[in-house]
Order: sequence, then C-alpha cells, then structure tokens
Amino acid sequence: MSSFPYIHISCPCNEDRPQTLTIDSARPISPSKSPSKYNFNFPPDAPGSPTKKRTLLAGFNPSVSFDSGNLGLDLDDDDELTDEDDENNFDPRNPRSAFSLFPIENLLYCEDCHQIRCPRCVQDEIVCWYCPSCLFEVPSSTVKSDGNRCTRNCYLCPVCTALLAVIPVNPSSGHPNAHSDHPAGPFNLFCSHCHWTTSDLSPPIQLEKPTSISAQLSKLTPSSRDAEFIRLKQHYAQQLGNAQEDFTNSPAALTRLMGLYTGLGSGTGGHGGGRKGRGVKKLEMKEVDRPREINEEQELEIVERMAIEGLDATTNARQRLSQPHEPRFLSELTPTAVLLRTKRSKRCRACRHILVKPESKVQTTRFRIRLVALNYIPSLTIKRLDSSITWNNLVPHKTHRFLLTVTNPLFDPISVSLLTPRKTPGTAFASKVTILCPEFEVGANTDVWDDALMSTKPAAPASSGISTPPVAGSFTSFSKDPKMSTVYEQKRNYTSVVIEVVPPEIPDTRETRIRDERLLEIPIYVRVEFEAEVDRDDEEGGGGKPSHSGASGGAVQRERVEYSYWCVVGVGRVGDPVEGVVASEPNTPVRTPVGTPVKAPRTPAAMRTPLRQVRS
Amino acid sequence: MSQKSEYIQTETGNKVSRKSLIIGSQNIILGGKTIIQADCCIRGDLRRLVPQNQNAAAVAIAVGRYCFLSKGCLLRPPSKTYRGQFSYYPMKLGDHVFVGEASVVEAAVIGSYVSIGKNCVIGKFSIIKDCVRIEDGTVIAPNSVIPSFSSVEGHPGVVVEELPETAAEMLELKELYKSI
Amino acid sequence: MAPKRSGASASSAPLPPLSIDSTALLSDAISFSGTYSITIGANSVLHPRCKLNSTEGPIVIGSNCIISERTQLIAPDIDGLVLGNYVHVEVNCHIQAARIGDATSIEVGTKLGKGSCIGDNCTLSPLSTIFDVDVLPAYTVVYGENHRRMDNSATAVARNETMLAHIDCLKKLLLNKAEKYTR
Repeated sequence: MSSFPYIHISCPCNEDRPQTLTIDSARPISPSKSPSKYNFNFPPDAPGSPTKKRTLLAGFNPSVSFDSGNLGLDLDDDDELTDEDDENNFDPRNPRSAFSLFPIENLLYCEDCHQIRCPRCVQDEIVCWYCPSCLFEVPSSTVKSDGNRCTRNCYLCPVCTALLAVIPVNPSSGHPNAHSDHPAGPFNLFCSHCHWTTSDLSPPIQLEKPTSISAQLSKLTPSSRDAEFIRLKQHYAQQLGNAQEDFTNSPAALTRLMGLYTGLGSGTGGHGGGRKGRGVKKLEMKEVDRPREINEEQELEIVERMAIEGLDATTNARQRLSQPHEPRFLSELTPTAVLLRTKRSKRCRACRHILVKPESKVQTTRFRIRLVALNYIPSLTIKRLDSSITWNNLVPHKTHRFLLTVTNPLFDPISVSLLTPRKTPGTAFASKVTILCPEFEVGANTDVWDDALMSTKPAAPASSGISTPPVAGSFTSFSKDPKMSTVYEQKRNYTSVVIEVVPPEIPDTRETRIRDERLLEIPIYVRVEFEAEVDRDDEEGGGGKPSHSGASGGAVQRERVEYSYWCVVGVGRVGDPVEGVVASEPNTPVRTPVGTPVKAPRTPAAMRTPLRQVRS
Repeated sequence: MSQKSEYIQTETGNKVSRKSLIIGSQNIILGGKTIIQADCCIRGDLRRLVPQNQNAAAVAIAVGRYCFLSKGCLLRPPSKTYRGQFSYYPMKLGDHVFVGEASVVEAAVIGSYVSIGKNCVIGKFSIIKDCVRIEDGTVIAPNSVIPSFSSVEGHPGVVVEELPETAAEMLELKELYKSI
Repeated sequence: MAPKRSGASASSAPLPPLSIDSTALLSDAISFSGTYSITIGANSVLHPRCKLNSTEGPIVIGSNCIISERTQLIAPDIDGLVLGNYVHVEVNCHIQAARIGDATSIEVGTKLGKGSCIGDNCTLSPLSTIFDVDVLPAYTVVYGENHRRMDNSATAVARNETMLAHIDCLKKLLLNKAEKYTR
C-alpha cells in the first residue's frame, strides 16, 4: 500500500455488493441453457435488451455523471445524493472490501462462469511437493511422515535462517590432500552469513560424512522431546484401538476427529454403521496424563542460567518459534530442515473447472492451463499528467489531473464506460472526482504487425457493429488536448482519458486512528461492452482467449457481451494544505478552460484562483 | 533528451552508458537489448583461472536479453576455493533481469524474469530461479537458492510471498528497454 | 558517489605521500587524496576504483589485505585509520573507522562510523552499520539487522589460507599499476 499509484480490482466474491455476480455465477452450472454465454451480469430474460438501465439500477445512482454531456455542471444536488450513493457505491474503506481487492495480476478468470476469480474463490490442489533449496521433488507418500521438510542435506541456520554449508572441522589437516574429492572429516554445518556452526550447540555436533546429513543429525540431536512425542503418539494410537492403522492418514478417521472438535460426534452423525462403535469409543478417550505441571526445579534452573549467561544467550521470538520445542537458549537451537514448497493447480470453487495447472516438473515455470484475468478483462493504469504531482503529498483544493489508461486484452474492440461517485465514499473528507470522458472505445488487441501498420495512420475504431456512443464522433486520435468528453490518447489497444481529483483538507489521523483518512482511493465502476463471436455448438472449446474460438464449423454468430466490475485506484495521500491553494466555490471546481493544453507549463493554482482565507 | 548521446548502442541493441565501467569486456557476453546505466560496474576481468587448458572459454559474465542494469549496480563473478584451488567462477544472467540501483550481484546463476530491487546484495554463488522478485535492501546469503515465483525480503533474505501466475508478464522488461 | 577522479589518471592533484610495499598490488584508477601518508603493507591488493582519503590523518593498511572496488577508506582524525593484516574489505564500503583488527572481513556495503574500532577476527555481514566510536570486541559477528554474536566457528585459520589463495589469484588476474602511483 505504500507505493502509489495502485489499482486493485474487486473480486465479485465480495458478496454484499448488489451488482456482484455470485448469485448469477451459480447459474452457469448449466451453461448451455443460458441465452448468452457472456451475459452473466443480468437476468437471463433480458439478453440483448437495454441492459444499461439495469446496470445503473443495480450499481449506481444515475446522478453520477454517466452522461458525458453534463459533466461537472450539475453539481448542485451533490450533497443530498451522496448519502444515497454511499449505499450503492463500492466503498474501499469498508473493512469487508479489503478482502476482495487484488491487483489484476493476482486474479484469475473462469471461462465457464465468465467471472473474475480471486485467491479467495479458487481451490488449491497440490501438484507436487519440492524442497525450495535443492529443488528435488518429494513424493507425496513421504511428505507427511517427514514433517513437510526436506530430508536431503538442506538445513537452515537456526540463528539467522541462511542456508548452512558443510565444512571440514579441521581444514589444515585436510589441506595436504586437498586435491582429493573427499576432504577428511569430521564436518560441521556452517552458516556463511552469521558464522554459526554446529559446534555452537551444547553438546557440539560433528558429522562424520559430508552427505546424508539428515540421517546423521537425527542420530546425534538430543531427542528426549521426540521420544515423548512418540510415546504420546503410541498412547493415542492404542486408545483408538487400532494401533496398526495410522489414524492420521485415514480420511474416515479424520472426519471423526473433525466431528469431535465441531461437536458433531461421528457416532450420531451417521457416517456409516460400521464405524459408529469406534467413534463412540474415541469419545471416551483418556488423556495420556494430567496437564503438564510446572516443574519448579526446572524453572529455577532456567532462571539461574539466564542470570549467569545473560540475555545474549537467549533466543529471540523468531528463533524460538522456528524450532519445534521452543528452546530458551541459543545453545539449544538445532539446524532446521528446509520446509517444502508446493506447486498447486487451482480450481474455480463454483464450477470446479481448472483455472491454473502448472507443469509438474519442479524446475519449469510453464503452465498447462493458465486462465489469468490479465488476458480477459481490460486493465487500468494511472499516470500523472503533471509531473509536479507527488503521489505521497497531494495538495488539498488543487485540481490534480491524472491519465487513466484502459488496455484491452481481447481480440475484439470494446466500448468502456467508467463511472465513479462524484465524491469518494466512506469518508467524512470526500474528494471530488471527475472522469472527463467516461465513455469511449478501446481497440482490439490485434497482432503486433497490425500495430506497426496502425501506428502510421490514426487509430480508427475497428469496423464492428457497435453502436457508437455519443463521444465516438469526437474522437481525436493522438490528441494531447484534454478537452472535456474527448479521449486524451488512443492507440492500438489502449485508450487514455483524463481524471480530475480535488482532495479536501484532511487532518492527519494516521497516528491516532487505525485507518488513514488521508489515503485517497477512488472507486471506479468499469463496464465493458463488446461483440464477440460465440460458437454455441462448442461451448467447452476455445481454451484460448474468449473471443478467439470462433470460425469453426459451428453456428458462429456475434453476440453482445457485457460485463462490469469495481476497481479502486489508490491515487496517493493528501498532504498538508499549501499556502495560497484555497477551497474554491463548491459549484465551480477549479478547472482549466476548455482547450487549454495540459502539457504547457501550468501556472500555479495560487496564481489562477483569487486568494482567499484558508478555512481552518 | 540528452540521454540519447549517453548510451553507446551495439549492433545487437545493447545500450551501454558511457559513464559505466566495464572491465575485462572480452570476458563479457551481452545477449542483446540490454541496458547498462551510468556508474554500473561489470568485473569481467575476474575470470576463471584455467592453467592447464586455455581453450576453455573464459567467459566471466553472461547476460541475457532485455536485462536492465540500473545506476551504480555491480556485477562481480563469485569466487571460492574448490579442491584446493582458489578461483573465480562465471556468472550467468537470464533474460529480463532487472538489477536495481547500487545493488551488488555475486550470484552464480540468475534465471529469467528476475527483478532485484535497490541496494540489494546477492551473495556469492547464490542461485535465483525464474520469476523472482527481490525487494529493496535484501541481502541474499551466499549459496542460497531462491525458487521460482518467490518474493524475497530481509537480512538474510527469506521468501515472504509467492508470486502469482502472471509473474513473467509483471517482470518482463521489453517496455523498459523501449523507454531508454 | 563523489565525482573524485583524481587518482592516477588525473595527475594534476598532488598525491599524498605513499609508502607501498613492493609486493603489494595496486590496480588502475585508485583514488588517493589528502596530505597525510598512506602505507600499504606487503602482499595487499587494491581493486580498481577504491578511494583512500588521508585528509584528516594517515592510513595504514597491513599485509595480505584486499580492498575492493568502490570502497572508501577515510582516515577519521589525526590518529589515522589502521587496518591490520588479512583484512578483507568488500565492495561499496564506507569506512571511517580508527582501527580494524587482523583477519576481519567487512562485507559488501558496510558502513563503519567515524572513529569506530573493530577487533580481530570480526565478520560484518553485508549492509551492516557500525556507529561512530563504537567498539567491536574480537570475534564479533554482525549479522541480520545489526544483530551481534560471537564467532565460535574456529574458521580463522582456513579463512586466512583462503585469503592468501585469493590474493594469489588476483595477482594473476589484475594488472599491477603500483609504479604509476609511486613514480
């Protein structure tokens, strides 16, 4: 959150949004019945009908200047509407929102639900386990018994977490025959970062061979605790009445165990008659012994030792917690085997289709399936128009102009509507926000070769049947003129428009309150419409980009597709008020006159607006 | 821009700042379209000593395509004693490797799509796999291995986050090359 | 990054009085500045572009030391900066210490404050900082976020052997331009 600007997209799994699609997305369990493959945003009875109205009803109060014509001119009814708006607008400050906001890079896209999927609404399935240090795959059968750790030679320093190396204890003795492949032992594990070695342990550990360290260490490390663990495990296995069965590995046993904890005893749950008796027996399980009592003698010993050795000999919290038995003294820290990592495939929770499937080989970064949102939904980026703007110190009452760029990843041109509440919601210190051209088109993501051709001539809207919105006529490509209701720049597959932000004076509450009132986040509702070729006979086909599946023998036809999502633009932090930049009249926002080129050096706001007393 | 004249462009599209310091350029391979900014230092002179047979290629540093070496960074081959012989060993960088300002790299291998932040120290003989982001000010301990799709932070660096599937797109540097 | 390129190439600025052992290796483009004497011991290696500034006091570098590129050695006061033997100073260090003990390793990007004293056999991990006038006892390791611990690894002998091998290796790789500075 520290680096501005950022753009986060709200995953529709944020359930309490009225326009979210979770309810709809449950429907595509029978996608063939759906009249339109893409028309997931609206009830099925209105596939091609004027959906615009519905969007507005669902998400927005129409007073938010959807119509670019009366931009910023009817601000008079602002105040009475803000309260109403708050109910429908996405509030980035709502504690719930934080859980659904992700950068577009972190989002996936389900082709069957036609829905954005965030890490919260996918299900992970482990493809393989591997050691992140030696990059060897670990078979799933041994993962559990080895405690999810590498059993080769990968150990981390218990003091500083760097990787340990094997060094001979007595290098000079090995020196005469140093040219041999195997230097003479014994060996230590040595941390090249903090110079910790296994001889720092009490008692010190020395290894005989430089290989198979795990086997050697397990013999050497004092394991009274491990012995106790084995004792406990045996006890409970006996209690289960079936010592041979590794009860942790049986899914049925796990279900029973979970039943115990959730209060739904498996005996009453009817998990099957045969197991009923055993479940009841487990409920009467005896604990191995009483709760552990504090051994006063041992505690006193520890206190005494601390007094002698000083605080420097004790472990810090991170060191303590990384060890299984939380030792108090540095000399008790043992090398920690490297924890395994996994490669995982990801499924849509709603339709169970696979969204991500990596190749199973540990060292490859390729994917067999990879449906990422980046390839399906237009992405937004924001830039400063005026390089004097500092993201971390926006000036109150000054009009900040930013360039909002929408990039189209699809092979069809799209028309985009951006809507934003006139005042940022969820705060008592609302900033005024205006998108100068909220409706525009973005060209198709054509080939790079087309790009080379396009760059020589002005980008004309691709010849599709899209009803031209009122602004389309006034497109001026490569225009550097931020006139109202025109796009700022249009290239192959992206279009940029100007967004104006006027932050108010905000007291600095960062230290006194949990949330930062000065953080300026703008929610923007992005609605995308396009015509796509839909091959209905081949619903499951494609696999590539959504609009690219056509041209096979099936009934190819063009369909109107429409979808929408909320995103939040973190524009920056509002700074302290600047002398001379004062609040303008609420109904006449500070604005350069129509036609003023923005690239020209701008006179400071103080020069343009008459000096007035700063409200305090 | 005055920067136009700052860079010397090679025939493979590398742009090397006139203010950079490249020592032992005969031992350095640049893959093409790589940018080396001012005050960068590349120690190609610290090559492997091969006393017996000189025909072994004495490449000290190999850099892939679309790499970006920011101001004041340093690439230095790692060195160690192996079988009683002290020597420097070659360093290899993949494609789309970004090295932040004033970072010092002594790694053995850096994969593709790797971003190293500002003021980092990449320890001797560390291996960084593809699609890794190293945050500003990280110290990677010698001989470390950083697996793919990791974000690393700290002294010494530990993996703090897994990068999403789009890591390669996030970390590619074609646009950055065009901007110089 | 002071644009101080006086060094050998720009012979305009007068060099401080140098006393360089005949077995020392000085690379090209080393920047010497100041007026107090600079002494470099036997078998020590100075990488190109390291900077030694004796404006405030003399600098003494012991034998078998390695001073890497872009490292600045600045004498803090009239008592000067004294490096022991077998000291390895890595790149990008900024050193204003008064004393650095024998067989101490100072790794990449370390800052030693004015007048600090580093004992023998210390190791300062990358990017660590020692404050002004701080004293590090022998065998201290500074690691992580400036944590300290004692080095019990008994690797000092091996380390010094490696240092000698390292210097031998560098003598084969780097060109000796010592005569350029001594004239």
